[in-house]
Amino acid sequence: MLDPGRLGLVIDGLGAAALVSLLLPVLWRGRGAWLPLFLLGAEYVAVESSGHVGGVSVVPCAAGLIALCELLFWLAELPPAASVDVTSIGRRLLLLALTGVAAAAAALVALFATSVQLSSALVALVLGALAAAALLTIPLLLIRPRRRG
Amino acid sequence: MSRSPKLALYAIFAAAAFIAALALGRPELAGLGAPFALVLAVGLSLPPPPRVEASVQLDRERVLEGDEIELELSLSAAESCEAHVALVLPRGIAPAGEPGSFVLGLTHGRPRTVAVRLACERWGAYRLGELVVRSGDRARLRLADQRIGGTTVVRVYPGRERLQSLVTPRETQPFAGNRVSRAKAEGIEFADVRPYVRGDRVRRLNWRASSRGQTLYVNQQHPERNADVILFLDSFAEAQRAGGGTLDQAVRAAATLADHYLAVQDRVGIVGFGGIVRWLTPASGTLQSYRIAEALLETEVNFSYVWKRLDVLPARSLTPQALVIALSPLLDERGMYALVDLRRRGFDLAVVDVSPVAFAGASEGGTPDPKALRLWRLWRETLHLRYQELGIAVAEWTGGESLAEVVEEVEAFRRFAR
Repeated sequence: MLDPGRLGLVIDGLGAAALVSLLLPVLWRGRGAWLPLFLLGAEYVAVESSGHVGGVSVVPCAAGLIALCELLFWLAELPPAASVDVTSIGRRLLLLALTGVAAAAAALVALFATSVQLSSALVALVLGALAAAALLTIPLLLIRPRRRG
Repeated sequence: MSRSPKLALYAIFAAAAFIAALALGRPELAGLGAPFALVLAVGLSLPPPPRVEASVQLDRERVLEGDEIELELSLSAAESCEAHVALVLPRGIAPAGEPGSFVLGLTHGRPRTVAVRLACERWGAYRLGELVVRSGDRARLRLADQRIGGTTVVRVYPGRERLQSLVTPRETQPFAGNRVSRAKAEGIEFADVRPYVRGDRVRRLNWRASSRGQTLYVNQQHPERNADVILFLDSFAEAQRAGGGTLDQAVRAAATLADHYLAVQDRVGIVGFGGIVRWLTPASGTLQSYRIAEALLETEVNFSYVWKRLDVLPARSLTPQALVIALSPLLDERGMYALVDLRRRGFDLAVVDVSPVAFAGASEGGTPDPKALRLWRLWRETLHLRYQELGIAVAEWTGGESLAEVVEEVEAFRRFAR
């Protein structure tokens, strides 16, 4: 276990590294976006472990992280010299705002779901199975060819 | 259809957060990963990227070098999406100021139109409208790339220079034109007097000469005739760099000369002598001007080892007593030999050496050896002298000076040689 002083150093180090690594996807057209994301995630874990912030702090943190990722990937996708349509910018901003709200809601739900104390093991089993099934739908949706028309 | 790198990153991050939440017993980490899992779940359940349809329209299909055209791009998609569109332009056509790529928000049932101004930098026939379109689903987790082929053709004709004078042909043809023939017949320009013979018109009597000579004399004139001019383009080889090459210069010169000779009612023909031999029999008039412009667009260097001689050309492409103006970089022996052959066949020949020397100085392989360059220049000068010994007027066109100066140089040599 790290003492609070050393943990503070770790947090500062992670924060600085995350900020510096942000330059990587900005300058290298989206490549290496995983690095600041994981560093910021790790920093949050460290901050949260030190007990400086409450559990609800995950809501703005998750919304911020996903908004940051969306912006980085949009930057990566943009052609080097392109004229960007105003409609497109408007749609992107709207989508970003919606994603942020949805992310906050999802984080809250997840937080609430993890704090639920289930009385019965059977209910816990059913809920766990449902959660696992929901998670499995993601690769299924990826693999399954979509039939149109 | 391809997957965005975002998809993999979100999936890994969500999985890592959930596993860490379980391993460390911290529910907040599940809260951190949940939004990423939600974006994946919602994004993948949305319809896949739609197919983008595009059509292209040009405001003009025939332009001159240096002109600008407007390309109207109409894009539509079956579903609303964001489309990244990149216009694939051939060498010689470039966007005029604006970038050639766009990010457009497409809405179902409402086609979007974008106008792009393009600068036609080099002559040629170009197929325009080739596009690379990248569309994605709403969350841009899945991307679809499309390549849409060009359908519209624009013809960029070579730019013309203004010439004050032309190389005068030595011989004229029997057709009426603007040139004063060396022959004596009916015309305007006075040529000589000769004794009267039965059948001569009385109005042609030279009374002053008749009164002095105690016999009747009549005036003779030089008739106005046209001439045949053959523009001989050596396309065996060329020297070029990013901004253009010797063939570009030669084609521009050919277009200029053709226009000016046609304007004075001469008959102009073209011979493209290279890997592929092309010719256009001499004719006059506006129609021939269009034919020449079209023929010049097809001129290109086709690599070939075949030793070609003038025999491959049909007789009607090189009409007797025609003035042959050769535009050659004097790089390929076959082209050089053909010029000597033309002279030996009795053609009135003038050579414009479209000099490749300037291109050698800026070659991609690095700076050439100064000694080799000097030797090459000396060799080219010797070649010029050999041509001049055969009575061929040769002028070097480095591209720095105007064509008018080169034409003057050729004409000056021909006057001196007479």
